[in-house]
Amino acid sequence: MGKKVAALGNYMSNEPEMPNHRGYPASNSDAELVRRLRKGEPAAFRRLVDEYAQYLFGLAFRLVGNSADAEDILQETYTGAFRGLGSFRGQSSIKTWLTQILLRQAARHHRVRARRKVISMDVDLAAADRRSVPSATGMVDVQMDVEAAIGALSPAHREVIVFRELKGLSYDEIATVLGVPQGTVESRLFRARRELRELLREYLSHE
Amino acid sequence: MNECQRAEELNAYHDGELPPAAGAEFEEHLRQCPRCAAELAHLRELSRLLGTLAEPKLSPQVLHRLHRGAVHASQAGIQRMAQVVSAVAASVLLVCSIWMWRLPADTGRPEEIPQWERWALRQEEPRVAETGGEELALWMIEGLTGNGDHD
Repeated sequence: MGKKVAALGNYMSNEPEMPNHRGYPASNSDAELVRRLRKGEPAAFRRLVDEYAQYLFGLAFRLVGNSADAEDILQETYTGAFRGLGSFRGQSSIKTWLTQILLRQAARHHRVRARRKVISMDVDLAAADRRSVPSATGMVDVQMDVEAAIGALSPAHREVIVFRELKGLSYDEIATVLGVPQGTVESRLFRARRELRELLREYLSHE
Repeated sequence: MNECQRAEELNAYHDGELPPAAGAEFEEHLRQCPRCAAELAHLRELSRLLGTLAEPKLSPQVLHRLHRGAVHASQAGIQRMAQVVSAVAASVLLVCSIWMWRLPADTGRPEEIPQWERWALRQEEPRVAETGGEELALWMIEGLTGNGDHD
């Protein structure tokens, strides 16, 4: 049994909630929101922020590993979305569309960082999680290690883990967002989980 | 690690991605395959571990900045729309003005045909055909000056 498993007891006693798979094709409310956005209704623009900003920020944070960059990506995502409203065809949901924009921004951010040779994943949990997590030292340790393990994955593996395990997207939704076949999603997820199990073996009792 | 060939299918089962019939069939397999059963336990444990990550919260300052950006974007959208509407209206006005300007003034009677044209039309076909450019020019001048009425 892994030496840190006992420390997890309190946090892992409950089964995780089943992921919430939202309908991904554009819904009627999406179409209505887009119509209002195109008319330039300020309330609609505000709703686009209120409804998706937290989800997008969480996603960006998990993809880039720190809150400062995640905030920049979020801002750029919304700027791109506001500018590209005219090109949104409504074939996918607003959530899918925003996620795709965010992924492009995150990839651009990754390329810029790679050019600057700042490749390390700074795990900025101290800043981000102070706002949201109870101050149990053991739990913070676990979270930091899990966060570091996710950060150690390749971008392709990190994406599928974040989408599936943390955001609860279905395989079909992930394939749509990433623009890859569903089989690719499945194999990436399979390999990413194997890698994570290796990285987190000390927390896993059955390894 | 799992030696069973159905490892990827196990992931799909764990993620609730198998259709109901395939899921039921896989559960039957799980009862007979201790390796897959153990592997499933590993996957569930990993998911629970990942589930301990807290959702990072968006700061109110960032949310405020986004709201400000949203207001600007909506105003920019309205301005753009107003510009487009103005441009279309101006274009329509311009086209209508040109069209009206080119229309013949409505005097209540048909447009008068110049005398030289009437005279030329009255000539017999062969004569007109035989007429040289110089003679035709003279007819036109006569017609325009009012001296060409040979009736």
